[in-house]
Order: sequence, then structure tokens, then C-alpha cells
Amino acid sequence: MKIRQTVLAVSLGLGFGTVIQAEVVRPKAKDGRVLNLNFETGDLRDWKTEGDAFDGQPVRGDTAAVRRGDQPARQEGEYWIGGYERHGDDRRGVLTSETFRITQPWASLRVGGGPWPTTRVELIDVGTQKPIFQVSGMESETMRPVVVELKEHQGKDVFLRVVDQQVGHWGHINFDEFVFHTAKPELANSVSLADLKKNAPPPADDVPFAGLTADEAARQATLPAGFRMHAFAGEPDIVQPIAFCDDDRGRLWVAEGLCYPKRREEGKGIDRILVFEDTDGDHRFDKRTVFMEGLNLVSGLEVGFGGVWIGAAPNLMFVPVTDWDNPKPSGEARVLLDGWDYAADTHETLNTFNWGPDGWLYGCHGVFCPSWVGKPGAGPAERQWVDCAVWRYHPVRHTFEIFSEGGSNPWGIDFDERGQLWAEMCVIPHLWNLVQGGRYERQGGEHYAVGAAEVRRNQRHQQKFGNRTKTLFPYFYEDIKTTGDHVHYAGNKGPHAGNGRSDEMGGGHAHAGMMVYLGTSWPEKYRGGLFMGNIHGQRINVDLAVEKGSGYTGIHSPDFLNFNDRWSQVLNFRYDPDGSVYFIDWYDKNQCHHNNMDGHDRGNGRIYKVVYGDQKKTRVDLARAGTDELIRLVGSKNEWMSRHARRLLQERGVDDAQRETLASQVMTASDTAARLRAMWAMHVARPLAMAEAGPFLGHEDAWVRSWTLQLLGELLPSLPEDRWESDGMERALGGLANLAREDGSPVVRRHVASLLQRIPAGKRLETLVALVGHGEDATDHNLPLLYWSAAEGTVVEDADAGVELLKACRIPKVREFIARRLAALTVAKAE
Amino acid sequence: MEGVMDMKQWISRTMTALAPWVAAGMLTQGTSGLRAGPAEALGRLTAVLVETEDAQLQLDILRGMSAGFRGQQRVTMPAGWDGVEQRLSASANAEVRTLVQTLSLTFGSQKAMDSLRRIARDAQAEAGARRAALESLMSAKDPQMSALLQGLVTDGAVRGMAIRMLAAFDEAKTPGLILGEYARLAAAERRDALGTLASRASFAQPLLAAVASGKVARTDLTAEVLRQLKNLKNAEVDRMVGEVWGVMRDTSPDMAREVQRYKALYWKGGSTPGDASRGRLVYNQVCAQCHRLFDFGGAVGPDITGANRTDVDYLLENILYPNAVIPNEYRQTLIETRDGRVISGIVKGQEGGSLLVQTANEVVRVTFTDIESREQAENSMMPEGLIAQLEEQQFRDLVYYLSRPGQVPLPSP
Repeated sequence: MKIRQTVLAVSLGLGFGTVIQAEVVRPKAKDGRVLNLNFETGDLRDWKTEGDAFDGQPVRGDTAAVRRGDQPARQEGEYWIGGYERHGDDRRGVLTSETFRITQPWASLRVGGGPWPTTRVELIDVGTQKPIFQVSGMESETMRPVVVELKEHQGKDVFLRVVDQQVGHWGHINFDEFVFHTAKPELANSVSLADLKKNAPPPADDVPFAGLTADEAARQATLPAGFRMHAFAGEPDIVQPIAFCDDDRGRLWVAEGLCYPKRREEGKGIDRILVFEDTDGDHRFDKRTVFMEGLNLVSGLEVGFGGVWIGAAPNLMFVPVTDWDNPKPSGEARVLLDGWDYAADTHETLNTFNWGPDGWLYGCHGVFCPSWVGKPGAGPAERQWVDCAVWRYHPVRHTFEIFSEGGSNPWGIDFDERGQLWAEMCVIPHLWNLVQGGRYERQGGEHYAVGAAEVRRNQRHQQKFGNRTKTLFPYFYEDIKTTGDHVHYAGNKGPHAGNGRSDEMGGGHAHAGMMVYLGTSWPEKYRGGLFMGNIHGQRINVDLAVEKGSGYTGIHSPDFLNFNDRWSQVLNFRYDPDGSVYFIDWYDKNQCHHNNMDGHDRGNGRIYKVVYGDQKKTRVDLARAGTDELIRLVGSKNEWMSRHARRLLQERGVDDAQRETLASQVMTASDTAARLRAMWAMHVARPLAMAEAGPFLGHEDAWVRSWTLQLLGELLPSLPEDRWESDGMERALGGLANLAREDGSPVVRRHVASLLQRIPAGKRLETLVALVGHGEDATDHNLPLLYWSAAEGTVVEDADAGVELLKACRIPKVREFIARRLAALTVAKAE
Repeated sequence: MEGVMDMKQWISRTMTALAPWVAAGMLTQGTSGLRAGPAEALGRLTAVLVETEDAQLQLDILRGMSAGFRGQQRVTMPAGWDGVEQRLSASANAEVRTLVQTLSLTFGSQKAMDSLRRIARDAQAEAGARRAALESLMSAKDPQMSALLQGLVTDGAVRGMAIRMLAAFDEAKTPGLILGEYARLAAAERRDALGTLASRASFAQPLLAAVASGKVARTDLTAEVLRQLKNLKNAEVDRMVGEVWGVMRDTSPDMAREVQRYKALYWKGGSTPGDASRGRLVYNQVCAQCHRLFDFGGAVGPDITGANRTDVDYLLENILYPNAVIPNEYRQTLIETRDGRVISGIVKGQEGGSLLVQTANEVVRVTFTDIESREQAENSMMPEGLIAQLEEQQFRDLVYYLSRPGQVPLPSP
């Protein structure tokens, strides 16, 4: 490569010289005299002055370069207008040139200084007295030639105006030499007017309020017509709401994160879990129970399976409850997992728990927390490294897995009607449809090995963090990128530069909370919408998912709500049995993680409830429903009912007849969502078995086929090694290969690729060959990269298999990765 | 419901669910054939290149091989490569031709190396081309490299790079050559020189002797250089540092008190304690090498434009105690090579058989096989004691500048 570049540079050097030179034409006054538009007369002849900003102009020589070497003025000739050079930033004034005629199709002028609309140079049409163009500085003393096309304006009489109406920071304008060109000029360091417009910094946001009371805030927020926001609870009844969930009666369980940002000494935790209830239906709580006190650095919360699931790094804990009427712990907290980091970046520890459609507890974890997770007492071989990830924990089998790897600091996950996982993130793009086994763009650091087999294959890439071991996985050559087609921050200078000036784009780069709205009381257009809290934008964003290939594209939709109050920060959402939505508001002047113990105001926090029309609060207690009733409710389009019914069925189990009812619904229901609801329920109540999966795998609905694969794959990692050698298993794998070869749906192939990663690498080849033969998947958002995820282990364990795969492959990117891995393999062996 | 469900019950359910997988009746196609180990992988890959007429497949394989060898100086030429080189260097596809050429160099083609050395030495050649040639030779592990580089220390066009690259070679002549030129080096080249001289104990001693004799200004030993010297963990170097600089003080463990002390010092400057423009000058000298602020500065540490800069406590905490909260991504790693070079930096990733390490000056590529030890330090890449080097008013100017909402002009002369 390097040699080639050299050769290219040389040959290009010889090739130049044939560029057509645009001739320079200087504007003239009516009397034919060349106008002093480059100030080389050393004075302001041909210009009229107003104000005092330009007293003493023009400036001679590059005084800016003397003042600050990094930004020379780069004036033309000797003289120029240096707005700062004489009197600094605090004067105002206007320079107006004599009138001249546009005689050529192109012009250029040199502009530097302040970026504001009030620090500009403009060309005014004498006929209309309106500007033909306006251009501001670029926050640099250096003047860049701005190239302007004037073809449309030839023959018009015009004059220039140099305006400085800005005081303070960058309150000046630099200007030199306006000339015409006979053709488009090639000028060093030039910029076109169109590019300038693109790069202009967006205006600062105007947010009218800060520090309102909960009730005032509810009144001042902007919502779509027909919605009403209620202050369900506020300080002092709730402070620092960091996590929440709802139980089978629609009560809210809320964790108060008072310890944050630091875990306190053992036994000195001050976090609490409160239970809020609205018994009289006025959308405000009237019953509040303190469930638990003395917790330490709580960050995640869910309810189910006879108790409460609490994330409080370093632990994931379970606290049993027997009396649900007066909730209180009925026994000691039991630590299920430990090793979650609590020393590094404590706003990214285990968070936003949510029950998945498959009955696992899902949660998020951020990039800058080096966690080393396992059951208490587990040795290094039984622990999994975790930095950025969505993970899952099975509440009954007590197994822990990484679901997808990568990201920044996800703080919010929810599932849509197809069971697709949606997460939001900060700094990196915000919207993600995370698929099982996917590896995603990371905010920092390297990918890590997931699962024992991958750790084993990558032993030589271990990195020690004290007593924790990160086994790197350096062979995922391209990350899966955001699902979104947009960002919520303005400007092109990175996510942070958009803070406080991203109103038009959606508020800013930082998000928290995710809700896929699947209630039934809001207008239909909101159903399936992806709702996210926007931290710097004090609002709630909504994106919409549009199907594309094996996945989705997330498009921007109007913001749902704006608090108009800088302190508001929504951390998460839940819809209730009535389809009304609760969200917790951390409410803090400080919008960033801050390790300073005094960096956060611990005296406030809110829970709001948004109701559409005159939707009432209804009473419900699903735990009292019989199993048949729960089976009926599982099919409800009201997702709250369906989810809670499903979880209760998972707790209780079902008999054969009840399971048969659900299985037949999978086959006969009229739409995808209903089929999947029935399938998830039958699976959580008793895991889906291969013997009953045949009809599902032959179902006309690609989503039914896909979920059958995902659910069957769930138990595979626990299959004893010798069982894989059985004849039956070989046949099952052959069936999978057939499906991979013949299924017409990219969604199904995506699920095959996810499933393959749970099968020993040495058993994947036939199915891989079938997958990578689908040349039509080459441009899919997920598939080439997921295929590679599935193939890497096989290529490493058996180079011949890699070559066979390479020859069968119709996807260039995957072929390149196979060759790359094989080459790297040879090198590693040589070492 | 009695808490979490019984485990035994679930194991039995699990096995029931798995059994049918085993019993499932479906078609099968076996896989067979001779299995190759990793050592033969490259040969097999080359064989595919020899066989195929598919230009896209050729390109994909060549791209993959090239990426797979990135950071790899030398790879044994696989059997059959001659034929590939001959056939594909006549390919109609320019990228195929380029890749074959590059790979041939990786496989040790003498002809390619000779022509690159000529370009590197040629004072008439364009500097960019010379630097590219040096990079290629370096990555191909040219056996004549150190002599070539030593000859370029006096060459104004490429000496910065040559000096940086010399850190890779344990050559006794090197420190003398660099120190001999030191007075003539530009500011950035001096940073390169100090980086190289502080990379090995055997280089550091002549450097410190030069400081003691006044040939190199004592103030040129910035906090980064001092820390790099400390990382060498060499008693003689430590002693010499102590002599020219005094003992390096470990920061007081009482963070709160220290922050208060500096805060008081800051506000002693009055209600507007500093001058932002002068502060910017200090920033450019002390911080900009690693941190970006208002679109100016390096990318070693985080961009601090979006940080919580208006809070003086926050600023002081992070400057005085860079080790108090460090995202892992900014923790420094100390890498010692087999021949005694110590590289202090942030691991940015790896490529092929090499590790990429961002030091304060450059991204260094270290082959895994050259690594003697790799240690993730508990401390941040950012050195402590940055403020201690400043005059009192300089400190106020810097903090004041850091807390400004936007960029300010540099001071008038």
C-alpha cells in the first residue's frame, strides 16, 4: 500500500498543470475606476462607515499572526479589515461600499472572525435592497476565501456591507478582497457558500424554565393535543428516582438512588425502595409504602417470581416477598450474581431491568465499568467479563448470558410486538435494535470474548484489570452500526458540541429510558413508537421503526413532550394497564455524571403520569386471575395485560391441555403479534421442545419461524458435549442447514446466524456454507456481520473449513474477513 | 409463590426440552476432508488465489490478507506466491496490483525494499513520499533500518519521524546523535527527541547528563517526560532525575484538602482570578498535546469541551487527581519490549500481530512477539503534578480559561 501511495503521489504531481485558470476581474465603479475592495490604498476610500467598530481600519500586515500564531489572518496584499485588531470585540459598526455591477459568473471574498449572524459580510442588490448572500466568520482569525456563484445575478447593481453588531466573545468580523472570476476559481483553503451554511453552528436553545415545582412543571410542559400530564409524585415523597417498575396490580416500585455516585461503606447504604399506589383514581399517588431501606447504590429494579430483583453493584440480588398487600421483605436478600463494577463509572452499572418475551430478565451495562460477573464464589473460569452489553439472567434456571455486546452506556430497553429489543444510548448514535449475538459500535475499548468457547479461543488476548480478566476479541472486523438514520444533536462538530443548541434536532445526544408504547388508550399513531428521554433537551423523543431487510431503520418523529425546564431528565418509562404512561424524572440542575458527592441535588425527583383524553385509572390484580384467564389475557392487544399474564404463567407453569391451547393459537392466530404472544407464553411455561417445533418451523410467518429458532437455541449452551456427537443432533443440524439454504426471509437467516453462535464452532460449517451463499444479503445492515460472528470460530478451529466457506461465499465482505482471519491465523501460529 | 423456584425441577424440565433435539429426525449431509492447521492456512489461501478467475474473489482475498498482516513486519512467503505475484501484478484491477505489491514486500521482496530505501534517503524527494517510504520499511522490519534512521537525524525534512522511529532500536550511538542536534530542533521535534530519549534506560542516562550539563533545559523535562522516566523503573535513572529535578512528590492522599487549598489559591486572584487569553497560552503548552478544547488539541485524552468545566471543584479534582476517576479507556499501559524499550500509553487496539499504543506523541505499533511485559497501570495516562509546574498566576489563568464557555483570542504580544 505504502509503495503505491508514493508512486501515485509522484505521478499525480506530474499530471497537474492542466487546470483551467479562472481570470480575476476587479469590480469597477460606474466611472470605470477600480474600486478599493481589497483596501490596498491603505484607507477606507470607496467605503462609508457607521459606528466605531472600524475606526483605524484597514490594518497593515498580519497582526493576527503576531498575536496568535495558530491563526494568521492570511490577508491578500498588505491591508485588510481586522475587526479585533484595533478595538477588540466590543465595538459595533458597518462598512458600506460604493455600488458596482456584477459582470462575471463567479466571485470570491475573504472572511474571518465571529460566527454570528451579527458578524457578517453581505452583498446587497440595489434593486431590491435585499442580500444576495450573507457570510459570517468561522471562529478563526484566519480569513478563508469564500467562493460564490453569481451566474443568476449577472448585470445587477450591488454593494457590499461589512457588519459588526456583536459584542463579546468573537464579536468581530475580518474581511479582505472581493473580486470576480471568469470561471469557478481554485483557491487554496477556500470554502463554498453552501458548505458554510452546512457548518454554521446552530443557535443556542431558549429554555424558559429551571427549578419548577412538580405541579408547575406538569403545567409548563408542552404535550400533543388531548394529553394531560399529572404530577403523580414529587419531592419530598420521592427523591432521586433512579429505577422503577410496576407489579401485577399496577403499583409502581421505585428505587431512590441516594448513594449515587458512590457506593457507601458496607452497611451504610441509604437507598430505598418505595411502592406507590393511586387508590382513588385521580392520577396522583395516595398510598406510599417503604419496602426496603439501607440499600447501597441501587441502579436496577424488577418485580416477579415471588420477590424483587435489585441491581446494586457489585450485586444482582433477589429479595423474597410473601405479603403483597403490605409489601415488605419476607427474608434475607440473596445475592445471585456479583462482580459488577461499582468503582469506575457508576452511572453505567447494571440498570433498566425488563422481563423479555422469552421470560429472561434483561438489563443494560455501560462501557466504562469493568465488570467480572459470576455467581458468588465463582472462580475466574466461571465468570464473564462485561463492559458494554445487554445481558440477561434466567429467573428460574439462574443462568447468566451476554445477549449483545457493544454500545456506550445503554440505560433503557424495551421489546416491540415482535419481541425485538430496542435500546437507546448516549454519545454514539442513540437508537439500536440489538439482536442476539450482535456486536455493536463501542464508545471506547475493544470487543471482548463472549462465552467460554470464545474465551478459550482467545486466551492470548487477555488483559488484566486487577484480579479481573478481559479476554479481548479482536476479530470482529466491523461493528454493527446504529439502527437510526438520524441523530438528535445539531452541528457537525460531534455530540457534545450540540449540547444546549440542538432544539431543532431533538435536544441532544444523551438519552435515558426506552419504551415501545404498546398500550391501547393512546391514539393509534403512537403504538409501536420508540420513546426515549432526552437529557440535555429536557424532553421525550420518539423514533419510528421501519422494516428493512433483516432489521429496521429508525426514523425521527416529532418530540412527544418538552418540559421547557432545564432540570428535567427522564430516566425511564412504563405504561400501565390502562395504557397511560408513567415516567421518572431525576430532576437535577447537573445533567452529567459527577463523581463529586456534592455534585447532585438529592432533595428532589418526580414521577409523572401522562393520560390521553379522559382515560380513567382502573383497578387490577392479575395475580388473582386463574390460569385459563391468564392464557386468555396473554393474547390481549393491551401489552401490559399480555406481559404480566405471561410472567405469571411462567411462575405457575401450565398443564398439557393449556399448553396445547397456546400451541394451536400459534398456528391459527391471524396476525404475527398474536402468534408470538401465544408462543412466548407456551415457552416460558415450559421450554419449547424440538418435537413440537416442526410445525412452527414450517409456519408461513417468518417471525414464527425466527422465534422458534431463538427459543430452541436457549438451552443449547447447556447441552453436554458428547450429546452433540449423536446421530440425532447431526440430523438436527442438517435440518438447520436446509433452513439456512432455503428460507426466503432475511429475518429467519438472521436468527439462524444468532442461533449458530450457540452451537459448537466445529458443528457450524454446513449451515454457514448455506448462509453465506445468499449473495443477496451482501448489503443487509446486520447479516454479513452476523454471518461473520457465526463463522469466526469455525474458521479459527479449522482452516480447511475456512477455505471451504470462502469458496462458497457470495458476500465480498465476509470473504475478505475469512481471508483476513486465515492470514492472521498463520501469523499467530508463526509467533 | 415461595421465592425463586426450585432448581431441580428446572433441570429436569431443561433436559426434557433438550432430548427431542437429539431425537429429531432431519436430513443430514456430512462434512469431511483433510483438515489443515493454522500453519497451512496461508498456503491454502494462496491456492485459492492461484485457482480462481473471479476478480472480485481475488480482490476480497488480497484485501483480507493485507488487513490480516497489518502491523506484521515480515511473513514467510507462502508456497505458490511467486505464481500469484507474476499473474496478478498484471491484473486489470489497479487495487489488485497494489495489494499484490504490498504483500510481496511483507513477504520480503528485496527489490521493493531497495527502491524504498532510495526514496527515504533522497533529499530531493517530496517529504510525504519519504515518510511513507520510512513507514513501509519500518513495518517490513528492514534490517538496515537503524543505520538509515541515524543518517536522517540531521535531515530537516524527515528528522521528526526518524527520531521517533529510533526509539525502536537499542543502539548506543542514538542518544549522542539526537542530543548533538537538539539545539537545532523545532519544538515538536524536541518533543519527539525527549520521547525517544526517555524510552530506554540506556538513552535516558545520556539525556539526564545533558540536562545536568545545561545542554538540555531542565524545564524541557515536562511532567510527561518525567513520568516516562519513572516508568523505566531504573535506579540509576531515578537517581539522576532526583539530582536534576528533585524528588518526584507523590500527591497528597487528602484530595478534599488539596482541592480546597488550590481553590483558595485560585480565588486569591480576585473575583476574576485569571486572564483567559493568557490561560489559553498555558493550555496550549500543558494540556493541548493530549486534550481537545474548542476544536483545538490532541486526541490522547478525552475532548473536554463538553465536560463540566464551569465547576472549579470539578476542574481541580480532575487536574490534581487524574487518577481519582479514570475511565478504563484512559488508563495507561506500560509495555516493555524484549530489548528494553518502555512504552507508556493507551492501548488503542490491535492490528494483525501488533498492538497499537497511543503515547503522548504518536501511535506506536508493537509486535506481540517483541513484548516482554504488558501492565495496565492503576493510574491515568494524565500525569499528576501538572499544576505544580506552573507559576501561581499561570495556574489561575489556566483554570479561568478552562471554565470559559467558548474560545478566546490568544494574548496580544
